[in-house]
Amino acid sequence: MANEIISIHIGGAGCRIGLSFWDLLRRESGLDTQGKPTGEISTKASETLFQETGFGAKVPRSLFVDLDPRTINEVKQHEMGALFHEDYLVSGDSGTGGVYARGYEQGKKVIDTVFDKIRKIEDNCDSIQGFMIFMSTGGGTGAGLGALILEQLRQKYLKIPRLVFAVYPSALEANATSPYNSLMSSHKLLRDADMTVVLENSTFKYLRDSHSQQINENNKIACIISDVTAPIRDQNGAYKSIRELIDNLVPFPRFSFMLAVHEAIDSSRFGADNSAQRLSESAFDPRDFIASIPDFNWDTDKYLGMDFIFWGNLNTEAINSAMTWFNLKYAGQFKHWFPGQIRSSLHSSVRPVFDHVDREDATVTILGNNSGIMKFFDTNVIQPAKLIRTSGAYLHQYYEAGMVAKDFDDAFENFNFLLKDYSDATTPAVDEKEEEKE
Amino acid sequence: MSTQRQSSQEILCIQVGGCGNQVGEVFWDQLRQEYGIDNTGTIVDTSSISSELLENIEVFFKKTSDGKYLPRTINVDLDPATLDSLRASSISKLLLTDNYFFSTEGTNNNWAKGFYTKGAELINEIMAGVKKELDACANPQGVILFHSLGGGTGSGLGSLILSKIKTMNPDLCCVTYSVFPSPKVSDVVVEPYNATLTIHQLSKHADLVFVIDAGAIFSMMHFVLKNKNPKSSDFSWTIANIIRDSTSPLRLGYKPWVLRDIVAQMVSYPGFNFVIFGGAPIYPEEAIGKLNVRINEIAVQAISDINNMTGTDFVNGKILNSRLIIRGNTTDLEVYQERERIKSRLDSELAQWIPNNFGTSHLSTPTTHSKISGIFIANSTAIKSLFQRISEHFHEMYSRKAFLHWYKGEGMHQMELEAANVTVLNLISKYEEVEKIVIENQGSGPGSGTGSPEEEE
Repeated sequence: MANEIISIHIGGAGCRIGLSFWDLLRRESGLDTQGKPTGEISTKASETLFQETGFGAKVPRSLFVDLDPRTINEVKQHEMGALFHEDYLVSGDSGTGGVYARGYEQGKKVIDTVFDKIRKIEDNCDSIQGFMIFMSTGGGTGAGLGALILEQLRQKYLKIPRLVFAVYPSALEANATSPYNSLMSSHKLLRDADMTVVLENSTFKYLRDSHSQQINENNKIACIISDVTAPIRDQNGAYKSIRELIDNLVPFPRFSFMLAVHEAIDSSRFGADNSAQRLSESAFDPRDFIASIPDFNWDTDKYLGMDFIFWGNLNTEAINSAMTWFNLKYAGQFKHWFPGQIRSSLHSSVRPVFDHVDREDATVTILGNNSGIMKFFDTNVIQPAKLIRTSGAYLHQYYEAGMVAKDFDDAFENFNFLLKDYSDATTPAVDEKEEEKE
Repeated sequence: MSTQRQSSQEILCIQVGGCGNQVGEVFWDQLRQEYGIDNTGTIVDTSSISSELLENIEVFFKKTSDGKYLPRTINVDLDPATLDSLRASSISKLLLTDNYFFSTEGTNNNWAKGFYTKGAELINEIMAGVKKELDACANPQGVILFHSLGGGTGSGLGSLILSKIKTMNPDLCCVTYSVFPSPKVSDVVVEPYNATLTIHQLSKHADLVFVIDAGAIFSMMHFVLKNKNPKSSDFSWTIANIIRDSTSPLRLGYKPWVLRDIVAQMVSYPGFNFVIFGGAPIYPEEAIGKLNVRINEIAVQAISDINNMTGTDFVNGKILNSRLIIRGNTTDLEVYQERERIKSRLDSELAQWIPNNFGTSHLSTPTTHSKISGIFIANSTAIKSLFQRISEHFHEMYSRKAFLHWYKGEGMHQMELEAANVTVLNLISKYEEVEKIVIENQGSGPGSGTGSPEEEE
């Protein structure tokens, strides 16, 4: 009996990350591009994410949706194209030009098809434990159609948790309308997603680092997502389902934006104990954050819950001692108010070679509910959106597609409240009595 | 190549009037060479053509049942002389005679004839042709219109065709490459009337207008190409060359890969659908193969005033949104470095209130002419000077009611000219208003929509 997860990839970025993700996952599970086991299976192809076909192949339980037909075509022509049944690739007839409101409006044309397909995937499942939604917030389809799909998922599958991997555009990828899109999308995520992992596409960082070929940023994001699902796939670790993951990290429904941290290390150089310690320290190293938090401050940006997912050449003892050490060292950072726990999981096999991402043999991915995430939203979403809105630029395109000025007002207001909630929650002076207000 | 072709979103080109057809002819001739299509429509050697180009070949070309590629285009002119020159051109075998729409006499540079009388006689036939071509597309994304604003056919009939297409299918993206008249090169006295009337129509029916100022091309001939005696074929070659380069992302499947993307990103305020574009390097036909410019020169040239098709100096306004498209042999890192350099160079020109309003794309397949080339597309308020010039010339004539009888004779009301002029004046004042936007304090309360001239009620 498996508790299945259905993955939904929305928009250009969502679909492309989906491709990277499944490419990595099939390698980890020892499947070839057709979904057939290659013999040397490192982890059992988990039924949670894969579905067995009549021909003995394992195919992802996934749905790809984009309004721009090109993306879906790209998926079909990908070397793993055979893994994705044509039934589960949905496309519209034209892109949105990067306008959230259009993604939302045009999305209404395909939304029924999308839910038909979801129902069809559901038919092949025993009981769904959750949805994973891959999308970007800066583009039109990911933001707009993503909001629409999430809205309906919430209505139709109320009890089933929705875990969103949201990619925020980097300065290099962003266009003039991105701030509006990110704002509206985040506003909807706050309501409709149970947990959102904030991933900033920071391709430019690698452009500077590696003067040769740039690392495919999607592959790195795929590694992080794979790490997050590893304990669920293994049924071995701090959490065994999406629900358990979310329960620890999201103390209140509105504190649902997660900071992701990723770091790799060469364990043969440092030894298992030392490696685990060094890896765990990255939780406080802004360079390893996948969302840039300006002026990260140990004292004020507090974690409200953490999950460490170690991967690779490490052992349980090393992890345990590293965690004890971590708890002692950073006790001051959690003291006042810390509803969640610090948990750790270990997936002990070594990751298969995957396009030069993490050549080191030990990695950690940390999901943390950190109040500093509001700084990320403030600098990357709220301030730019305010600025452009004041000048009135591009608003006509949103209004033409059916939005009204109040929608933007609501979004700004929502974030103002969230900011206040976070500062209330993390101010040392606040104690238990304040919680009841929530 | 691949069998999946549904994803190509096709573009239909429409060449209207003498100028439109002349530029279009060279455009297609150059485009065909880029794809290695010979003058019968066959690709001689597929191996030498980049797969990126071939994958998206159907955006501009139509594949026939016998494997030939023909331009997806319609040729319209009221003057039959154009027909003869098309027949004599090197692409004559590629053009379908079904898509020729000609009348027996020209418009004598009278917009009203093109829009109301002579043009109207032909419009049903043309629209049937347009519809037929659009129906042949799997998933058309829009039309591109080549025309000029000074004469009668391109301006009058061009406007009529555009308005009919918008009525027929409002979802289609209508983009035009419009040659604006300039006293430097023209011999037509009523150009300001024709231009004003067309601008009025374009702002209603076109989603985006790539502005080409004939005067700027003239200066380009002098200062960049050092051609003291430019022939009209030199003009069309240069214009067509830059137009061709500006369609690169559409043909190579790079961001912005469809017309709608360009429109959505470039039109920052309603009505601001006139964009400036320029290219680098600018070279005469003879220089092909001898071009060896470096990326840093390309980038600087592309944003300069003498290299853009309107001769606009960006210092005179605010750039609302812009994109530099580098095509050819370079690395993403170099493009990134250029991006930072150009961005700081344009710092005072870029509007501060629109974030991310300077973008770059890197297309790795080079053009056939140059190993590396660049296109700069920008929506800048500096373009207002062009409208001011047209408006001034309009006033000079209209205040004396000169040549009005030509238009009235075709049943046009004088009011229409006045309304068109008001459109132009409004546009100018809107540009001025936007230029004046000053952002004092970023944190002036969430979503306070103050100072926005365009915010709808």
